[in-house]
Amino acid sequence: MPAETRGLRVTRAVAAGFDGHSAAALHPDLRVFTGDLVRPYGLPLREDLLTEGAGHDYGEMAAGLFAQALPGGEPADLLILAFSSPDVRPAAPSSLRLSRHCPGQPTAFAVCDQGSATAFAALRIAAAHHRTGGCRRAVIVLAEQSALHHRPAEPVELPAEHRAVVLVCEEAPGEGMRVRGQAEPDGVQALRSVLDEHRRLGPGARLLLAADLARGDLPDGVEAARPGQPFTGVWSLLADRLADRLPGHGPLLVADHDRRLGRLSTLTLP
Amino acid sequence: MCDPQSVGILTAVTALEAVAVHLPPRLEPIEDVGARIGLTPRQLRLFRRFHGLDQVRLDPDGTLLDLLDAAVRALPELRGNEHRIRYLLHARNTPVAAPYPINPLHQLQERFGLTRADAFTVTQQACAASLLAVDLAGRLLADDGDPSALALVVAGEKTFTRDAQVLPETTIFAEASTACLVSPDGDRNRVLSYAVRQRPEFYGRPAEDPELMVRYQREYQPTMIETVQAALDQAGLDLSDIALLLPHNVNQASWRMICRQLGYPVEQVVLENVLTVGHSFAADAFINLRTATTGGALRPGDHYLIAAAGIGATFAAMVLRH
Repeated sequence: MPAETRGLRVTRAVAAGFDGHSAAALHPDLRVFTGDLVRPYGLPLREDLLTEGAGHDYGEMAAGLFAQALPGGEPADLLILAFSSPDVRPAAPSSLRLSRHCPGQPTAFAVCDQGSATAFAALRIAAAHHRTGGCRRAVIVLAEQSALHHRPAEPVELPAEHRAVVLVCEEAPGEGMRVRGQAEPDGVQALRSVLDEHRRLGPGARLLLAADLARGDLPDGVEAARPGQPFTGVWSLLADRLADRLPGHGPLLVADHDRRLGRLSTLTLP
Repeated sequence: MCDPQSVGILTAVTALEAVAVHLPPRLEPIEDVGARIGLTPRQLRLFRRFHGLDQVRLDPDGTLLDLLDAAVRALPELRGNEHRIRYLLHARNTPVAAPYPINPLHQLQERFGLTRADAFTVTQQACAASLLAVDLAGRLLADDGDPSALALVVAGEKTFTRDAQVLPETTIFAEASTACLVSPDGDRNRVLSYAVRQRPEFYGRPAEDPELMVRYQREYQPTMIETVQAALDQAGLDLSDIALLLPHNVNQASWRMICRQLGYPVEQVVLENVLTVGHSFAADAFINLRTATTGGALRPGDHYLIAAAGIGATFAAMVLRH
């Protein structure tokens, strides 16, 4: 590897759960928007949740995490908000609002509509931006909140709690992170594939699995996220493991599988 | 902010290989839309006389999937190349467009057999999301390093709620859709530069915050002009080198004022779709490109500029060579 190689990788992560609800969950806009959204599909509103004001705001949740994620006020070039289930401000550009709170006031946008693979898509975009000269430090915001204000058209797992994770991606000497995705409808096969990849990375490698992907007894060096957080679960686990990572550590493999979309995603950190 | 020099260097290879447009057959006068959604006669007079709006394309019985499906079906260049599609991106203004977990983008992916594609939506850059999607597609394809790979960028949205029907004192939205094939190194419609300016101080809901709307309108033209100039600088071109300007179809009045301030001939701005299509969110860029190419307004080698903006606020401009 050439000495000058500097890759982008996740260097820090901060995760937090949130109690209560956002004022936006009681704003009349949420009822109007959701009512208009579901009408063509014939789905009923969850009047109980709308009346109660259940739910949280992705921008509000994540804004308070930047001080921990970027404690020295290090400026970011790029901010990507990734989500799977909807925010209580479903029509608002929350990523731009977050940009105001983020050092460097980075260029911001959001990605969605890929289930749990959306978080990996955001990382893949950040890596591509870095390798094509577009950024040196990227901030990825992952968020999910527990209230869906309409009946879903089919059963779907919703988060047990409101949660946000901020991943800081920075240049570092050596190779960068690798993000991969593949179609894989079968969860058992997806786990087998990830365990094979973990073995290929060598004895010092650790593997972090989304709760949905884990089955049976897990080999040494493998642990699963706690269940209940279908989008942020494995990233909260990553935040914990990055915080206690020792010098000379081996590679870290993060894996999630979206059953609905049949997509297996992995992140390898050197 | 991203390094503009680097952005310029990268995007020089991205190319728009083919563009398809779907215009729903229903063409509704803005007075009919106004009667349906409760616009006042004064608002309608402003839209018609000052902003130059006339009719909008709508598809009241169709779903978002129907809308996007029709655009992709209108793209013959996709046939036989489905296996080359590495990314399927929906460039969208409104972050949530279907009741979760219904996913029209993945239904589209399945319907067209785009089995090798990574499919997701890019949003929260308002109606400039299509330029963002082209830039992202170019970066991802360039980074993959497979010269035969392609990305398919679709745009188009339903006007299902009031905020997606009207932006007060600015525009009435429409439901046309587009599909655009992006390659990492093609020779048609090569991207020379891409500039973005974001003004998050305009985050909010202008429909209920008139003061925000006034501030946004005051800053709109100077920021758009600054963004256009940044894209020209990155491309190493002057405004006089630009044969055609493809605007977003928000209205005619704002573009006439911008042209006056820029000193750019308004005759070289594709404005006819403001009258006959309406503001179709992020799809405008490709609708106007299609109009320019089919009407013979662009000759091989011509430079042109696409500009778009939206509340939030994001301003974007892209310079291309036809």
